[in-house]
Parts: sequence; C-alpha cells; structure tokens
Amino acid sequence: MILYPLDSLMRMMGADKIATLPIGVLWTAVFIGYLLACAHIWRSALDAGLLLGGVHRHRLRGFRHDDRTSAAAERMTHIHILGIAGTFMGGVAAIAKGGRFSRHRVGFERVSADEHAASGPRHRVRAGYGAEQLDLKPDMVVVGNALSRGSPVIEAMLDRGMTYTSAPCGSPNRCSTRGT
Amino acid sequence: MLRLAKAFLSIALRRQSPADLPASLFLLTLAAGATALMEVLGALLPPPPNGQIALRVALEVGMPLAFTWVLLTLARRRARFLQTATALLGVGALAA
Repeated sequence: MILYPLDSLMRMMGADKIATLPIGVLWTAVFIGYLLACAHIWRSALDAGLLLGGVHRHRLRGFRHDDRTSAAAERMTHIHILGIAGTFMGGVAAIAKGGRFSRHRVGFERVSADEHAASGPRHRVRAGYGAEQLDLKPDMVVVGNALSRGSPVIEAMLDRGMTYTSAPCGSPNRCSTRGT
Repeated sequence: MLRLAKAFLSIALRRQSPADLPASLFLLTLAAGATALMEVLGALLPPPPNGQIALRVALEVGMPLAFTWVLLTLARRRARFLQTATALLGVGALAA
C-alpha cells in the first residue's frame, strides 16, 4: 500500500534524484500550510464561514477584539465606562469602583448632570459624547445602552479599534465585540 | 522580534487570528520589510535571477497589499487593513 507508490515514484524520478524528495515534500507541506494560513486570515478578516474547520469558533470571534484571554483581561488597568447616568450603568460603575479596578485608574463618562455616580479621588468624570473621551486611551471601553452607532464617541472607538464590551457581557471574553 | 515571529506562527497554525495583532503601521512596515528581505534572499539563491529583483520585491509586497485593500474595501471592512495585511505579509515571510 505504501511501498508500491514509493517504488513507482523512485522509478519515475530516478535513483539520483530521489534525495531531493524529502526537500520537495517539505516545501509542499510548507506551501500547503501557507495556503491554509492565508485562508484562515481571510476568513477571520471577512468574518466568512469558509471551509477548513474551526468555523463556528472563529465566526464568533470579532476583529479587535472580543477574544482576549483572561490573562489579558487581568492586565487591564483602565476601564472607561460610557453612559453612567442610568441606574444599571451607574451600578456597573459603582461595582468597578469598589472592585479590583478601584486600585487602578477607572474613567467614567457621564451623559447627564448626575455626577454622583462616579465621584472619588481616583475616578474621573468626563462629560459629553465627543471622541475626545477616548484620548485617555483606556484598556477597555464599556458601552452603556444609552449610546449607539452614530455617537461620535462610539464611531471613534470603532475607528480606533479599541477593545470594548457591554455591561451585560461583563468581560470581553464572554460577548462578541466587533471592531467594524 | 521573537515575540512577533511567535505571533505570526500562531496565526499560521490557526491558534490566533489577525485580530490579535496590533493595528500598527510600523508593524505592517516591518512585515513588508521582512517579506522584501526574504524575496531578495530567495532571488540570490541559485539558479541566478533574471535581473529583476526590484520588480519581484515590489510585486511580492505590493500585490498582497493592493489585493487586501481592495477586498476589505469591497467588504466594508477597511479598518481591518493594517492587521490583515500585517498577518499576510508576516506569515508569508515566515513561510519563505
């Protein structure tokens, strides 16, 4: 089963050239691997469910960046929460303030006048919907339900490819966050 | 540099996606430079080249960039250009 094709191959190539066979096999394997890698890259870039396995896993993964590891999430030290005036997002901000992120820098953006939700020496409140909110360069942006596509800050966040999530997701690992 | 090579290897092995790369023009330039270098080295190997190394390098680097840009533009995902092109060129340089 194996020797017959090998013998045929040796007869076809000749005994003097048979030494080049491993190199040829290696190059072929590398070439096939390269093609598979390109297919993987394009599938990821276009969110296309093409062939080659891993489709469902990768289709759930957006571009920059819903698929950071837990370790990466642990490294995040600056969370910027957008839209903290409401009850839910205000609660999220309060949890962040009281949780482990309170040791670090937590930025908040308020969307109305009630600044009480995020007061404190280490927590900054920035008013407005402008893209300048993101000049703080946070590690992750938590988007409140008060904001949607079309808001300057949201569009700027997407353009800059920042890591973002929504409060119900709680973590970039749990929900798909699309970069475009 | 080693970390970068590992990232490209992980993409080639489908453990990571281009989304894991930073969207950096510098990184894209670096990947393009590596691809060009590998092309030049490949052209210097026997059999001798036909004297159009510059054209080969330009095509090797320019074609994937142009193709990526056009395809992502058509797919309305041009924001992914930097990462996708970096991944393609980096994996290509790694395979070369």
